[in-house]
Amino acid sequence: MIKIIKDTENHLLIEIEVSEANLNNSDLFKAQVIQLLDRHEKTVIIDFNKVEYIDSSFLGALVAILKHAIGMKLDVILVGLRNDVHDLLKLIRLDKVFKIFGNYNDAINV
Amino acid sequence: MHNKQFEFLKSSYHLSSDIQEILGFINDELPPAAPVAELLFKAKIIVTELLTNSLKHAGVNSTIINVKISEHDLSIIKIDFGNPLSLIQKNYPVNTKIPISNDILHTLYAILDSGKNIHFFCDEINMEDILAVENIVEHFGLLIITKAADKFTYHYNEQTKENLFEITIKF
Repeated sequence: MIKIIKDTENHLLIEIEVSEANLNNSDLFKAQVIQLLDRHEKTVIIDFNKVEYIDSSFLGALVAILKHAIGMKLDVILVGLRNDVHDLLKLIRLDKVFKIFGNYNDAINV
Repeated sequence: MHNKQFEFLKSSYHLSSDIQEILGFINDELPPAAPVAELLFKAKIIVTELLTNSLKHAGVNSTIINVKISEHDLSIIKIDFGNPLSLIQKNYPVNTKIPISNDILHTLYAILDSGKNIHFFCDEINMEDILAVENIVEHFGLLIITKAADKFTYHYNEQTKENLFEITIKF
């Protein structure tokens, strides 16, 4: 479901390994990322480059992860979103609560 | 007018290919002047949520999606015989704006009309407190459809137990 790509002092970079982020895998995704937050206590950067579509269940999981991270005074950053996925986040205004960058380098160079 | 009905059995749902089948029909039948990319994006997220809703809720064995395309409208109608939306069991007053979810980003409203149709619409809220993320809802299905559509109505037929979701996008 997810793979750790990079583990630095300040953050973890993880990649979602499925193309369809939906009801079938949203619970597992949430559990895995929350486990990473608890274990590493670092901001998580999530790379969506393989994700072709996303549904409301997966968006709900993302928000639950963000709430968990903020409770730990950490953050969740999204990178590599395809246009359709980014447009859906913008439609329901989640672009106002997540930090979103084109790619990993943009995210760490802010 | 172009019209096509799609039927999906819950036991054999393949969300991605089911959605592509519907989008393929829409893409083929839209009038040449229509904003194709925008309509396909909206249709994709609406159909995704309609089919996901059927998968999530108990009592649905099959789902019918009916797509109608006219000169300036794209209609997507979903019919199933699962449990009705819980909203229908609440005795809301007719023609009254009822907030059904509310967070720092949106208020989603339902209005029940005299024909027992529920109409959905939403207001965007001027976010003042970015730190109030814990207030954000984690259920986005109805909101996504409401925001992608120009008109979104739900009707439950008590006699036939039919749930009917009707979405219209104007172009």
